[in-house]
Amino acid sequence: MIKYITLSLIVFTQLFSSLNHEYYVGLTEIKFNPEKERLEIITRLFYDDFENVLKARYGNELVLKPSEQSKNVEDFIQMYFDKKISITTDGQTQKLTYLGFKFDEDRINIYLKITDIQNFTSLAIQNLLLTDVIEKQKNIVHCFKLKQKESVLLTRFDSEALLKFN
Amino acid sequence: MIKQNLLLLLGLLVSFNFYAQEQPEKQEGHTNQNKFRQLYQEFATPNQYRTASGAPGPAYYQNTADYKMDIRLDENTKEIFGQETITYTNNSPNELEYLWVQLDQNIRKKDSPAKEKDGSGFSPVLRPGSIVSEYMDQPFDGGFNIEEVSKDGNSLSYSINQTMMRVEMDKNLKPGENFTFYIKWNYKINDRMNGGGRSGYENFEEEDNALFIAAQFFPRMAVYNDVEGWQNYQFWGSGEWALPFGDYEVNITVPADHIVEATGELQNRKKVYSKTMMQRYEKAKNTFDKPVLIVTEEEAIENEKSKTNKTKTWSYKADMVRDFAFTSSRKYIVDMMNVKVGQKNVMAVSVYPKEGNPLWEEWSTLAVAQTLETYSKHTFDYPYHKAVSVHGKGIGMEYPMICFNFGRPNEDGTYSDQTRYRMIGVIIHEVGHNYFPMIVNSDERQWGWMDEGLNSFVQFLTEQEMGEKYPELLNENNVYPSRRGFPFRIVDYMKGDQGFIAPIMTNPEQIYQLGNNAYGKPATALNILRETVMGPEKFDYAFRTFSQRWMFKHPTPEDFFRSMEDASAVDLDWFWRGWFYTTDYVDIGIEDVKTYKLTDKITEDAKEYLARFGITDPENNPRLEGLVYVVPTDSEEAKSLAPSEDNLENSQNLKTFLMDNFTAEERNKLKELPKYFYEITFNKPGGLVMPVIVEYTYEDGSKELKKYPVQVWRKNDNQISKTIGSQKKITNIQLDPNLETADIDVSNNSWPREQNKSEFEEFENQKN
Repeated sequence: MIKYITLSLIVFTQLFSSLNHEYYVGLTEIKFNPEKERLEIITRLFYDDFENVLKARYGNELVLKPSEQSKNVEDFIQMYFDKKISITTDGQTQKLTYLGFKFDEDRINIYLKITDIQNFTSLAIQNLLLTDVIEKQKNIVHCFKLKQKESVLLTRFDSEALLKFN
Repeated sequence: MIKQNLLLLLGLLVSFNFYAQEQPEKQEGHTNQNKFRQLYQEFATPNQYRTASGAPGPAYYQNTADYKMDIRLDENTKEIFGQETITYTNNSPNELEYLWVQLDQNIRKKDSPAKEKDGSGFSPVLRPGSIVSEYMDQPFDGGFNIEEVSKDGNSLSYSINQTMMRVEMDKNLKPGENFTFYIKWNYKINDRMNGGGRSGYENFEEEDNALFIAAQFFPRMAVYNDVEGWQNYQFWGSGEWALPFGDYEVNITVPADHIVEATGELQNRKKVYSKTMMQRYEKAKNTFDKPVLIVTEEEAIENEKSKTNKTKTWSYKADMVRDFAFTSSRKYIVDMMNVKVGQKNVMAVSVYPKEGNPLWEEWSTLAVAQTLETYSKHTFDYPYHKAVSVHGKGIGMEYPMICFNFGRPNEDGTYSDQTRYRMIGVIIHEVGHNYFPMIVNSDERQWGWMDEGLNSFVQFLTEQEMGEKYPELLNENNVYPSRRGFPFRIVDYMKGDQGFIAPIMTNPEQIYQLGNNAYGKPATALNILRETVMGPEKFDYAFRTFSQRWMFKHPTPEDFFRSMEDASAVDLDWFWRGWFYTTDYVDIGIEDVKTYKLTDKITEDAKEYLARFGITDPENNPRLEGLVYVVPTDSEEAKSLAPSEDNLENSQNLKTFLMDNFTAEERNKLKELPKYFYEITFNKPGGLVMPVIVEYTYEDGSKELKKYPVQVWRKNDNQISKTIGSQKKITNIQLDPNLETADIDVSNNSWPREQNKSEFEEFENQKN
């Protein structure tokens, strides 16, 4: 925990350091839904950054804009998320099911779920989204289990975290 | 008789809350913790310098610092050599024993404590490059090398403490006197692409060229005033500047093929501009619709290839500025366009290398022009003769008349919508800083939000106007997608981990998330204040009043808070306290909705209620004759006590009262008796008090928007109820329907509650 506090302090001061800096941040929210026994995941990224990354990996002709999207873009998004996000609960590697995406102003929201989760006391996440192209990318993760909330900030070089829950 | 009974009941109702609670025998007392209490304890006491109205007082003063400087840029060794003559005038009523001069470059000294101001830890994975730069590289040895401090050729003794230099005078500087002295210095310019910074150079190795941004490049006088004495809080990197106004004469000597832009009016344009440039400049003076190129891209590319040993001196003069900055390179393209501001013309200027195109030639100068128009409307007419936007990769940084802004297209010249939005946003922001803090000259070292927050707020207004003026900018968006200002955009920050949030009223060095704290939150707070609390008309008048009162002066936060109240008659202590002095957030919810019918028959609740006042046999108490009771519509009691749908049928007492106390004519003028009575209970899990904005939807689909003033919370900070009588059934109640309050949890904002789905479930449903 102390390590993360130090890290986010440095990250935040460097990020803004009182100038109006360009910045690269993604937000992933994981919410435990006990009634449906699943984790509901929403990842929010700047869509132009995301498009650039997908282009770099899967070809320049790929388009991901509110006005226009390549036909098979969902396959690539799914492939990419399988590679860059992994989640285990109580030591068990979980399978992410991709549901779809939605544009929200300058952002794209990607919806995923992990089913068959009755309970968990620890959740390990690796999040490397966009870091393969944007070295400065920071990924904030919020994880909610009932009233408890745990947050971490992950980067290319510090991409994993273990969150403990009651 | 009946009237008296009603009065009695009314009296009972008022005291109900007081008697209803069971009280332990002895309770602890407490101090005033009410959210609406006055801000006397937080605010400085008004005085002759700063009045309770928020305006400067009769004894207000400010000292001035005038500079005459000769600067030489050596592009080969990447050094700046300078000498300056400073005339410092003491307008204070106090004798000054010494002067403080700021040496901001010293933050780059090898052994600068600022480099160790943050804690550090090891990440389990390290980049080889970062190991080398952190532990093996020779550190960059920057900082001022002070060669001489003297007066009339006699050296003055001085003492340097980190970024502050105390200069001793031969005698005390008396009120009204001035002191002229001389400083000679040099320093190594930092590579700002390696290690960052607000100024420095960006190298283009393959063509052996650089873009130089020179700022904080000279020893600058500190501010002496009535609130800080000498403002000599060290420069640690986050808190920016506190600077006095003065007049500047600056000669800048650079390689002869460089193009320079700087604070101030160019004195020898004919000498440093070519004939062609002069002709185009004259044309730009008469062009108000689109930028005129003074140096074209082709000419700049040609110029990049030259390399001369000769030098040229550019001479600038600036009056009433608080700082000076310049840029120099042979790579520069220049365009200009005149803008009408009030009665005069202001030249909007952009300076950029070919790497900024085509984005910069398309939008930079138009963004400068829009800024001048919108800001002048909301504050005062821009007083300087020009505003310059310079391309500076990765930064946004402001100085009087000139600023440095990011936004570089890809190498093939393509760029995304976001790159363009961010570039226009940063240009508006940095040009906007001319108003705050270059002219409304707040102390940035102490309060980051005073310039950043006010400026980000007017930036938001400007972006929205720019979106209206240039619809082609919007693409898929309905409005300009401002990053800061919209209430919903600040929600993630305000609901975040309290361990990493500080009140706005915190020094920048101790703030977490400076961008959200000093830019986003105050900008959003002011937007909410304007749209939801005060209304644009009252807000705009007060905001202009503050700006004009403190134009070319040094305001404090209290001067702002007080002026906004003083000019509008809107009491805002609660708003400043909540939004600026705490980390509380808005969360208001609908806790319960009850429906009632009227009846003449006493209910169980009423019996219980009256018993508390000692009335044990109400049915036979003549004083209670003729009263009307309310019964919950969905209760068992309602079936027998209020069988009819019509409230008047259920209450003969009300009917009798109407017949006995009103003439037929008067009865006709009355509103119809409501068919439905509702009691809605609002709760407030969040700490901030806000007006309660409610949209009622009726069974016929019609909607009614009600705004209960924030004062509803003044006697109960946790929950309040409101009754409503209506002819139509309410089918839906929605709190804050237009998301204008930055409510961090909207899952409790509607009734009936079941209709609320999480964002995730909503998406899932749409998909299926």
